[in-house]
Amino acid sequence: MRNLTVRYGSVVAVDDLSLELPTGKIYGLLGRNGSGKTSLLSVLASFRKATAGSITIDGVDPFENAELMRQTYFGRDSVDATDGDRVARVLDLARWLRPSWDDDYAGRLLETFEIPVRKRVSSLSRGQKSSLGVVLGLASRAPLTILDEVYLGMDAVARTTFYRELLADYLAQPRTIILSTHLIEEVAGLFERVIIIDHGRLVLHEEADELKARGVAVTGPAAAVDEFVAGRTVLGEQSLGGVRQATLYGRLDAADAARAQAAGLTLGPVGIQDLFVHLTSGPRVLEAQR
Amino acid sequence: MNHSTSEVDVFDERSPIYLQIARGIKDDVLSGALKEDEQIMSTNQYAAFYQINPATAAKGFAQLVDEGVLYKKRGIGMFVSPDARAKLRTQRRERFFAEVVDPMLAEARMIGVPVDEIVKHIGGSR
Amino acid sequence: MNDWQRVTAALWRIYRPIGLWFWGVITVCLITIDLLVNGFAEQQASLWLLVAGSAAKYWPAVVGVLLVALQLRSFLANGVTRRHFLAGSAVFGLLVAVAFALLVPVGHGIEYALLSLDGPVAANYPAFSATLGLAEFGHALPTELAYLVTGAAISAGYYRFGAWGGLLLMLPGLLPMAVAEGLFGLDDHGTVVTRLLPYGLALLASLAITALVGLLFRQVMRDVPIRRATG
Repeated sequence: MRNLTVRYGSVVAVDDLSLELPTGKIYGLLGRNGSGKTSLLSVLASFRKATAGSITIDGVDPFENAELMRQTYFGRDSVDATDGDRVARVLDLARWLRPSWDDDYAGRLLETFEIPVRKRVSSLSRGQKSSLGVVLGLASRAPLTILDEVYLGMDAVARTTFYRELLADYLAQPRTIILSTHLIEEVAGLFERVIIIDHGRLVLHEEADELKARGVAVTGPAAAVDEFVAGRTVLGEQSLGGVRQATLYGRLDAADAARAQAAGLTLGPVGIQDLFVHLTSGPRVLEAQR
Repeated sequence: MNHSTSEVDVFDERSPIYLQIARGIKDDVLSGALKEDEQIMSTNQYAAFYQINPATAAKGFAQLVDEGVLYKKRGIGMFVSPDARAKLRTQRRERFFAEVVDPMLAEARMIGVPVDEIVKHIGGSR
Repeated sequence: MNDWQRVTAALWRIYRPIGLWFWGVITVCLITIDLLVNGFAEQQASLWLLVAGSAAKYWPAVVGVLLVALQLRSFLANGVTRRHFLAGSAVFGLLVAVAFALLVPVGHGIEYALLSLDGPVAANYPAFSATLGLAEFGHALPTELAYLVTGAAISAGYYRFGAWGGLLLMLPGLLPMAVAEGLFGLDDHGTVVTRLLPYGLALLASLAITALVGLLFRQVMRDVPIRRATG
C-alpha cells in the first residue's frame, strides 16, 4: 500500500498510509475503534475503492480483479450471508463460487464449532454466527484470509477452538492471514508481525517478538526513575506514594540494565496489549520508527 | 524423538517467547531430558504444542544454533549438538557465582543473615 | 464454467424453488376458481390473464430488489467481482423474464382448454390461438424486463446513496415500469392491448428505456462499496 487514503465525505478513515506485507505470515492488526482498520481491510479485499493512493497485491491492483478477489476471503463480525438462508445453503454458495473451497474441512469445522446445519442464519446465536464466519474463512482456503474481529460474541471456549483451528490449518497449509482483534493478549502468540494503526495512520509494523522487547517498565523511587528515563521515549507514568513506574519505548542494552540495577530500579517487561494501549491512548499519533 | 515440558509450560509476558523456548531447551539439555544428537520437535510441532507462531519457534531455534547448542540436518530437522551439555554447563558455571551466589549474598546482607550461618548451612548439606 | 456463468447457475439454484412454489400456488388457485365459477356461469374474462399476468410482473421486480439487497453481498464475500455478478445477474434476470413471459400464454392456453371442456366459451372470453399467444408473450416479455430493471435500479440507488439519494434515483428508476405500464395493457377481458404507439415502436421504446436504466444501474453498481450487514 502506498499513500493509501480512504475518505468518507469529510471523514478521513485511512490517512496517507504506506505498508508492505510479505505473504505467508500471520499478521495482527491492532487499532482502536474508528482507527481505520476496517476501512483498510475493506480496500485490501476490494470491498471498497481507495479514495487516493494505491494498493497492489503481487503487483496488481485488486479492485475488481477476478483472480485476486477469488483468492481473498474477508470475514467481518457479521456474517455476509442472507439471514433467511439455512447454514447448509450458505455453504452451498461458497462451494459453488469458490474454487479453493474445502467442503470436507467445512463439515468437520461445523461439527467442531457445534453449528447446526439445518438452522437458519438468523436463528443462530451471536457466537454461532461468528463461528460460522470462521468456518467460512478457514474452509475457503483463500491465500489471503482476512478476519476482522470475527470473534465477537464467541465465548472463551469457542475462541480457543478458533485459534487452535486457525493455527492448525496455517501449519498444514500456510497462507497470508490478517487478524484484526481487540483481544490482544489472547492471540498475540499467534502473530508473526504486528501492525498498529491509529487515527488512520501507521504507528508501527514490527515482528511480534521485536515488539515484545521494545517496552520496558521502570519501577523505583520517583527521583531515580526520573533521572533514568530522562532523554528516553516515555509512554506513560504512574506514581504511588514515593514509588514511580514509567513505561519506556525502546530497547535497553546491558549497560542500561546495569545502571538501572545500580540505581535500585527494577526493570520489567511490557506486554503487547499494554504497549498498544500506551501507544494509542494519546490524541496525537506516534509515528512509525521505520 | 520426544519432547519434555520444562518448568515454564505457559509463556508469560516476562520475556520474548523465543527466548523462553531457547531457555526451555537449554534446561532440558542440562537436565538430560534431551540427549545429545537427539532430534527435537520441529517448529510446527512446537507451534502447535504451545499455540504460538512457528516463526517464533524458529527464532528460538536459530538462537540456539548460533550458540552452538543445536545443529540443523537439512531436510530432517534440528538436533542437539554433541557437546551441548558440556558447553552449557561451562557457561552456567561461569555465571553461577555472579548470577546466583552474589544475589544470594546480597539478600542475606539485606536481611541480616551472617555469612558464617550460610557456610554452616551449606556444610550441613554436603 | 467461467465466472459469470457460475453466478447465473448459483442464482438459478437459489431462486428456482421459490419460483416453482409461486407458479404452483397461483396455478392451483386459479384453476380451482376457474372450474368453480365455470360451474355457474360462462366466464366473460380470462382469470389467468388478469391475475397471473399481473402478479407475474411483480416477481421480477422483487428479484431485482433482492439481487442488490441480499445477493450482492453474499456473492462478493465469496470472491466474485462486481462485474461478473452484474453480468451473471443480467443473464439470470433475462432467463426469469423469458420464463415468466412464456408462462402467461401457456397458462392461458391451459385455461382455455379446461374451460372448453364442457362446451364453447363465451364470446367475450379471449379465445386462445397461436397468434394471441405470441402477442401475449410479446407484451409480457418487455414488461417483465422493465419491472426487473426498475426493482434493481431503485434498490441500487438506496444501497449506494442511502435514503435521500435513493429517493432521488427512484425517479429514473421507475421509468421502465411506467413506460411498460403505459404502453402495454389488458382490456377488461384480458386481451392484450397496445396503447399510444403501434406495437413495433412500443416494443422498441420500452426496451430502449429499460436498457438505458439498466446502464444507469450498472454505472452505479460497478464500483459500489460493499457495506457490512447489520446485526
